[in-house]
Amino acid sequence: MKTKVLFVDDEANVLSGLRRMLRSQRDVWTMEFANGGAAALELLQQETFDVIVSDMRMPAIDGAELLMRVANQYPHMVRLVLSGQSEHEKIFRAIGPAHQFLSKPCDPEMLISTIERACGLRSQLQDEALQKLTSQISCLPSLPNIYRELVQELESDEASIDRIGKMIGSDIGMSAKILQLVNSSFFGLPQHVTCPKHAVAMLGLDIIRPLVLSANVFKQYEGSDFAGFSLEQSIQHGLAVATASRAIAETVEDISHLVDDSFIAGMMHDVGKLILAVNLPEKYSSALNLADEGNIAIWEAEKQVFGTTHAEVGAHLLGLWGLPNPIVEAVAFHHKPTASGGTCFAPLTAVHVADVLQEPLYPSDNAPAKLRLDRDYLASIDVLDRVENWVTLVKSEVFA
Amino acid sequence: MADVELLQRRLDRERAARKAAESLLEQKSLEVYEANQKLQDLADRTNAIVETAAEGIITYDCDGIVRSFNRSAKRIFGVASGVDQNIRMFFKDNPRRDSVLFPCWAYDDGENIDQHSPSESAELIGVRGHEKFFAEVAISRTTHRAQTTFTALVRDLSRRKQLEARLGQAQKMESVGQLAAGIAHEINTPIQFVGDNIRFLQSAFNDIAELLDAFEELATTVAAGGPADCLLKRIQNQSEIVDLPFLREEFPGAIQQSIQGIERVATIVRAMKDFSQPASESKSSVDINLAIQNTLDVSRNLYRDIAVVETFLDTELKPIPGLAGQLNQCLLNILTNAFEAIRDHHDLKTGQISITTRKLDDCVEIVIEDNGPGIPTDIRDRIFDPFFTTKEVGKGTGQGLAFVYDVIVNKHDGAIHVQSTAGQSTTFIISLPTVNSPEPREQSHAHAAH
Repeated sequence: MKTKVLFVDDEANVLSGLRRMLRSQRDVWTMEFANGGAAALELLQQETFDVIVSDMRMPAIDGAELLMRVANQYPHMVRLVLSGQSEHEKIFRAIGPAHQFLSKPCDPEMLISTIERACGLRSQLQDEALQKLTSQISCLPSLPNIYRELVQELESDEASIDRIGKMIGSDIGMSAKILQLVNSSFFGLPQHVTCPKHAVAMLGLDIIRPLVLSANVFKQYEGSDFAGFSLEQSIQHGLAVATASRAIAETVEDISHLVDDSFIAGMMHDVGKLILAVNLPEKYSSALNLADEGNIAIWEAEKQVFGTTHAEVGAHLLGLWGLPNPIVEAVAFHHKPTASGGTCFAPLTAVHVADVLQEPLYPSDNAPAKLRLDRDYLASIDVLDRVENWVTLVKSEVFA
Repeated sequence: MADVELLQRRLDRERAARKAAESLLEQKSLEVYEANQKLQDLADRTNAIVETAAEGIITYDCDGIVRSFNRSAKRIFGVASGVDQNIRMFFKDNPRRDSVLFPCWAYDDGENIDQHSPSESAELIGVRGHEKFFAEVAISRTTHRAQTTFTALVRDLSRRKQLEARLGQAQKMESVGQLAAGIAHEINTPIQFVGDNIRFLQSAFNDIAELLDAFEELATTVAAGGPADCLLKRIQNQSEIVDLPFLREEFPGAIQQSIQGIERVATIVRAMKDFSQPASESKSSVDINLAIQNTLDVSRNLYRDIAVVETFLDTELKPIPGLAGQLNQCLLNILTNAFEAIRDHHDLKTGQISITTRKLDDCVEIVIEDNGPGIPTDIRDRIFDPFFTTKEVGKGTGQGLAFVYDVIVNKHDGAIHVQSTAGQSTTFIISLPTVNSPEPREQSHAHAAH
């Protein structure tokens, strides 16, 4: 089945140009071109599409408005912005509904690879309902404490980018969102940045302030913890795995981006749980109960209840948000690393190992550990001999 | 004997009286001396104050004969002394000069000493040797014992004028900066599709090159009388693969649109270049229609979604002497106000702006009309005042129309009027003379605009 892509722009010349340039994709994609928001909506009523790529600046129904309606009416679609726009107020409106942002002029390789990546994840997450759910998430909830602290800091005259970076870096939801914004062209050239502090420094106070205070890119967690799930504990676990992953990566090669990627991947690895717990709390609760009673790993219980696990759900979101591949891969396969087909050490490796080693130290209940190291995988990438080291390392990190 | 004694006593009395009188005289002399000293001190101090004052202070009588001329005045006017000369000599002749230098106030002086202070200062052209300069004068008058004395405070405005010019330039740079973001967007869009089209042409050419090779082979083979079947099949296959009909159809469009796109970029860049010329003090030949076109090109991004702009430009318009950069900036300032008024009060579809130029006998008329909410009557008189703005703090500097007024009226000897109907429209009417004005004009107060 070919991927169906809809391009929307108010300039006919731009559409013609795209049509010609993307000719080479005609075997892989079915492409339609709509001249303006109204035309796009009409077309969407008649046919289904997988991806919509829209300009921002259009008369009557602008890009942000169009994507918001698409998010509402056709929640499964991947929503991308392709725009020459640079005014921040306009961009803020697009942040909610858009998954990723591409700047004009955009070269074809970039455009094609972005669309391919965003769609490639569909096969991972089979369940349509979950796909729609994930696709509509515009931000993840944050710990109320951290959120409030952040707002306070931003409202003060002495706001420090450093402190803000630390705050955002200590929360899963905020980190994910910040990375989405920087890894895409929302505010300038996309950068492969996986350290939230760096991302915050790159954006600067002038953007972060209105982002948080008026555009509401972050939100407080308003649900309540229930048996087996606590947002605070999830974040702590995330940070613990993140630290351990980083330590592990550092022993292999001290390349900064490998180490940073491992940290963030560790932070994000269970983001799928957050998504499921916040949006489908009852079902998730029953999954947790199932895991508890049947003495199986949580992901196995999820598979039974949802048909998929938090790994795929989390990876789907992060992929939609355009986070770099190593991160998405780590999140997708951290329980089944062999399925990744990787042949060398990657953030995935660090996260997998860290997660398993962390389990006995931060149990969500007092049951025995249920996660196992995938020794076959570790053997295939030739790091089996290091595992002992890592065990010691992780244990000592905890008490350090 | 008694007589001698009497006389003696009388003599003694007289002597004593004389001594008393002498000492009284001495005392009084001393007092007078001290009083004189005090007066002299006071006079000296007062003179010193006047002499060393930072502003030029000149006093003169009602015929204009200068009585005092302080040091600063000497410096300002470049003379060793101005006393006994006529005050009129220091200021360039013009119809206003006397009314400025010898103001008369309406009410009667019934008192001995009456003082009148000026309500506002005026600008005159001062004369310093062969040079002329802008001077600000504040005149006051006092009458003492039927003698009237005028006091003039004089300030040399040359430096301030320089700063104003620089401020104007800085403002221009600011607005160029503001435009830059919009212009980047205007340029990005054509670049996007020009790039796309060219890449398409490149890959299409590669496909066709293969086809051409096949045709060439076919030609040689047929010419040599060899079998063509295999080659024909190959050609057919290749044509299908590259989708020749599609290419045939798309080529002209791709090329044409790319050319259009490039032209669009060139226009914007050219307009930008013309627009950002530095502020100059000397006039050159300015094509008003072109200036309007440039300003629209440069600001297109600002109004694209807000209003439809129509131009009715008189083709008979000849170039006029003017300061190109400043005139462009004036047009931009007025148009920006119109865009913002429409944006804040209208829905997107109905914003309309029309710009008309007309050649009149001795001037060029520019009419800019918008269908925005209009300017309320109570502020209409103040819109050209420096620092007057209806925008909230931080959003408007109030300099836009003040700048326009200064450029049009003072620098070009032109006129600007505004008409407005509340809730319906606002019209700016500018007229610029087609003939050069000989000298820079003194500043007239913005209240003259109506």
